[in-house]
Amino acid sequence: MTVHVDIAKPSEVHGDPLGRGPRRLRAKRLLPYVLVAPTVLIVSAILLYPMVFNIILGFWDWRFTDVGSARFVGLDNYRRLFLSSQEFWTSLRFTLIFLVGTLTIEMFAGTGIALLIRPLGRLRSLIAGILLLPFMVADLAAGLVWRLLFVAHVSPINYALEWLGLPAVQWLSNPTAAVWSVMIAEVWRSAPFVMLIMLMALAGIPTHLYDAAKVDGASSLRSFWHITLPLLRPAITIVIVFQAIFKLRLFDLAFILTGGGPGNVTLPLGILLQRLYFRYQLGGDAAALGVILSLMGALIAILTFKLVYREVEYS
Amino acid sequence: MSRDAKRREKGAGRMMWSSRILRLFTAMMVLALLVAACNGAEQDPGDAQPPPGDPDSGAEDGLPFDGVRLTLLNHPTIFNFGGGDATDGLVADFEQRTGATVEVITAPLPDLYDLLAVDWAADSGRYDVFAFDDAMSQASWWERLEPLSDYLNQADASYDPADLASSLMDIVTSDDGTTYAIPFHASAYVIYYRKDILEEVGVTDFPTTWDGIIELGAELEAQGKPGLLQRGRVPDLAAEFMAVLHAHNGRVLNDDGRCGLEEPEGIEATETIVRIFDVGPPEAVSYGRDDYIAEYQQGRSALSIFVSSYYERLTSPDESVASQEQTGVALLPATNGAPPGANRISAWYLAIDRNSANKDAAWALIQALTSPEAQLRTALEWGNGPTRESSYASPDYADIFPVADEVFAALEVARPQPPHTAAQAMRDHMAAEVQFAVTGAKTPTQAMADACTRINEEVDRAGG
Repeated sequence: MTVHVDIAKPSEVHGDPLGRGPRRLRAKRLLPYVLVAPTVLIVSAILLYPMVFNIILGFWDWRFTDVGSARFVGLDNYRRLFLSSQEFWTSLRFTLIFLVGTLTIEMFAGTGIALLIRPLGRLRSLIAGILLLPFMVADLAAGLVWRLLFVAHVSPINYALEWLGLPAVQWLSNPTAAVWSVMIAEVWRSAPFVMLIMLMALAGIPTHLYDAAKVDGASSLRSFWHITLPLLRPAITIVIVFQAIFKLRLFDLAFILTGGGPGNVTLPLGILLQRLYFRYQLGGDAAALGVILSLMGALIAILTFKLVYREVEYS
Repeated sequence: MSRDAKRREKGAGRMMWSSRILRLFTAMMVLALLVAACNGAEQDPGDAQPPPGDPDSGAEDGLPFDGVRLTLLNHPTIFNFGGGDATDGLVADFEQRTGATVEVITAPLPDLYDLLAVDWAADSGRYDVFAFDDAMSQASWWERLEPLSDYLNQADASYDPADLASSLMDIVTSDDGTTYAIPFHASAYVIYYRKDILEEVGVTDFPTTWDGIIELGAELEAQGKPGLLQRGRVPDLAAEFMAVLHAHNGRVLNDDGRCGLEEPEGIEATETIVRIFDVGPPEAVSYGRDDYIAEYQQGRSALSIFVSSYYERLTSPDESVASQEQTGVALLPATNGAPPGANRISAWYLAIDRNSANKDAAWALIQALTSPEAQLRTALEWGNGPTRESSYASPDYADIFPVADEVFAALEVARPQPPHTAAQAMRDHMAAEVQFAVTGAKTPTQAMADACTRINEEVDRAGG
């Protein structure tokens, strides 16, 4: 006897030749979950567990050399950071100056370069590729290269300054210049990323909007202010959020260039965290600082989305 | 049955089977992943190596640790002081004599302690033997280390533990007399100077006071010659600062366990450091160890405070323009009643992790690296700063390091940085404040007052 099985409507199968109707349906429904389960488990283990453990650790006095003596201290680690750690406030100050300063310069530089090379047609890709090279350089290598550029007695920058009749700068030993040296190295490395994002965003803006503006007699500046900038808001949001997160994690560049000195003027929160955990063995303090850094990143992301981001629709 | 119906029936059957195969495959993959994840590094106790001398050890040709695999975590410089990877190096020699295989992992500071931190947090005992410097030697570490007193007491007479410098052994011996590590490398801080450059400015006798040394640096600078140069980067600056501090008879922590930097000796030492940097190049504040070694090797400095074990490196014909004939070595001037040569110990030790599965073999490795013969060999062949009195008394060593006797005497009176849980934090606070003084951001008095505020906070937090 022939059984007609309509596979489009499995619920209407009658006379199931294999005797497994309801179980087959359950298996089919469970299959997607089974397939993603390994990934979910691994991602949970790698991401969620350390995150949760870190948050919990922030409430403990925990040293890796003496785990058995760990004790719950509540908010003491946070209290100590905010109320009595001079290093924390110096470090926070530098990190915020670094973040705001470099981000501002990168936004202007990256956007400006993107606007300049956008009309270049085929040359645009080649130039963009070349300009993107600094972004490919590892932080460590960038730090070593810039250290050579800044160390006074071999510094080509100072050579150029002196050739122009200007005094040489103690880039790494003068407190003010040291801050600028870290910022300059970071802008050199990160501005190409901003340029790339802006270039892609600019390519997505329909040209008929500019044509219409031209017909209406709008100048280039007005077109930029009323068309380009508003339509770049989503891209600007992405840049600010990602760059802020990268800059909050600053470590390699500052470590190689200045080590956090002179004094602690260029000590970013990333190096302070490393010192707290690996040098001072204060796991709880380091975890608390990690939580603070995460909250800062989250706050920047939230504020950026609230203040900068706008939905863009082309009609 | 129509052709379409047959085709539909065939298709349904195929789908049923492919769905079954897919389910079976997915289940096998999940199982394989779970098995792989769970099948960790657990060792069957039956796999552990039997002790040496055990008839079941499987030792062939009388090799006591044949088949044993040890992991040694070491600093690259310290490892090279023992011949490094050379086929006639100490580790290779140990492997040939014992049949053991030694996996060497090298990491500079602070990476070395990062690796230890991860291993200790996991309690895995990955590193049977590891090296650490005197700055990390502290009571909070004792629980992680295998006590070595029994091994020392049972060691062969030729090992001669009493020959090891007592000042070095004190650092790794607890109050109850238990020893936890053996020194492999030791240095005192000395001043290296270019005899030829000093002669060019009419100086034939090296000054014996800090004022004299600083004035000499200023004179060299004024005459456009390579001058006095020190590394000023945090935390490196703390190393030489403590040497100068001890030479001024100052202390980081006084007898009450509180910060002693505010005392007159501490202020005076800070003023000395500030004056040293004043007569040196301004960029030296940003110099780390490799920078100021390179400056001396490339002939851009004529006076520098270095550890004594750098002698061979600073005068290496392959790396340096300064030859041994051109290089003089002087002890730090002692003031304020400090004993002659008073300075700071810089030492590296070897210890056995308490979780090591091969403690006997690990001890054999440590013995091989720190025996009287080995120590002398490391000094003669690889420029190591030995840790045994017999090495310093050797005429062969005196031939290549003329101030060997003086350096050993300095080692005997040198002090380590305070063995304290918060030692690293103290070191960083000290270096940062001294750097503020050097750059003129604070006066020496203000800098040391602030350093003491922060250091005392660390002491209080650590419970004294």
